[in-house]
Amino acid sequence: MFERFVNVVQLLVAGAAVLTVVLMFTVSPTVAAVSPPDADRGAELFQANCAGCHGVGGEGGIGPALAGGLARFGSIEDVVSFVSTGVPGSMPGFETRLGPDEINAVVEFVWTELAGR
Amino acid sequence: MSTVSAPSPRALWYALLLGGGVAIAVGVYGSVHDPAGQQTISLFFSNTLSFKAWTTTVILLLALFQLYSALRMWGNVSLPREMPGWFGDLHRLSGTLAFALSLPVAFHCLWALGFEPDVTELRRFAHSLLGCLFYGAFAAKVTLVRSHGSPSWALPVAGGVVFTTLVAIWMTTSLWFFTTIGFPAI
Repeated sequence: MFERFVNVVQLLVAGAAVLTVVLMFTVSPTVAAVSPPDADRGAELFQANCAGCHGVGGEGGIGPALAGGLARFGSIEDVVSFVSTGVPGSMPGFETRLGPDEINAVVEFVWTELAGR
Repeated sequence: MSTVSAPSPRALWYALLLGGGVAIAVGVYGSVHDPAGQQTISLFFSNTLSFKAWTTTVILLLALFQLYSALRMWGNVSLPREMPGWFGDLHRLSGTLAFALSLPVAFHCLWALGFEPDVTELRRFAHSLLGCLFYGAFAAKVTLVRSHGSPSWALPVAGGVVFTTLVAIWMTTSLWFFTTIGFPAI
């Protein structure tokens, strides 16, 4: 009885594995591409708030390089959260300096234009 | 009169070829696929990374049971003294559940993040390689389990590689997550 149950579970998991592979090839990202006005705004906000530490082109300086990076983050939402709250003793949180739309714009600029994600 | 078949290198080669093919296929997909860079499944966790860190921890616990139950079935430990008839099926079930739990984790790793080719990003580079090796070793182990005639040392070695790789994967992700981002960080 238990053996039969395990066999059924294995069949279901094999199906789930096949489904996972299919999804890897068929699911498209839903993140909308940044529009030019937002990119311009994000670039301006980046130069005003981020370039001092991360470099004008995101090449790094006091803070780590952003160009070609950000792979530690699983999603753009994670970067927004990180930029909003910051890290004590390392990077300031920007939720008290910028509005949510401004943080979204600068993160979209960093994510798409600098990090190349 | 019973006959004992000699170990067949063919079964071992099949397992190695399949495992190598799976590892390479996973690596190629992660390298050529354009990373989506967005969250996927997170269940009741705050984000996908927390989900992955904890799911990988559960997988590691299941793998520890796999290791223990395998040692018991091979007679290297004697607890429980009398092995129940369903013990082997419990071993299979724990491995199956561990593999099932790895699927959404691997999906996010491959689909949303991709393979890290930069050697200077050592943790991510090592994790990428280990992820490919894990699925390759897993495929080889499953093949060896179902083949009759492979050398007696092949299955324990394959299981050992799967377990060791999983521990290294956990250390380069969940342990890093808990010590860098926070704990429990749910």
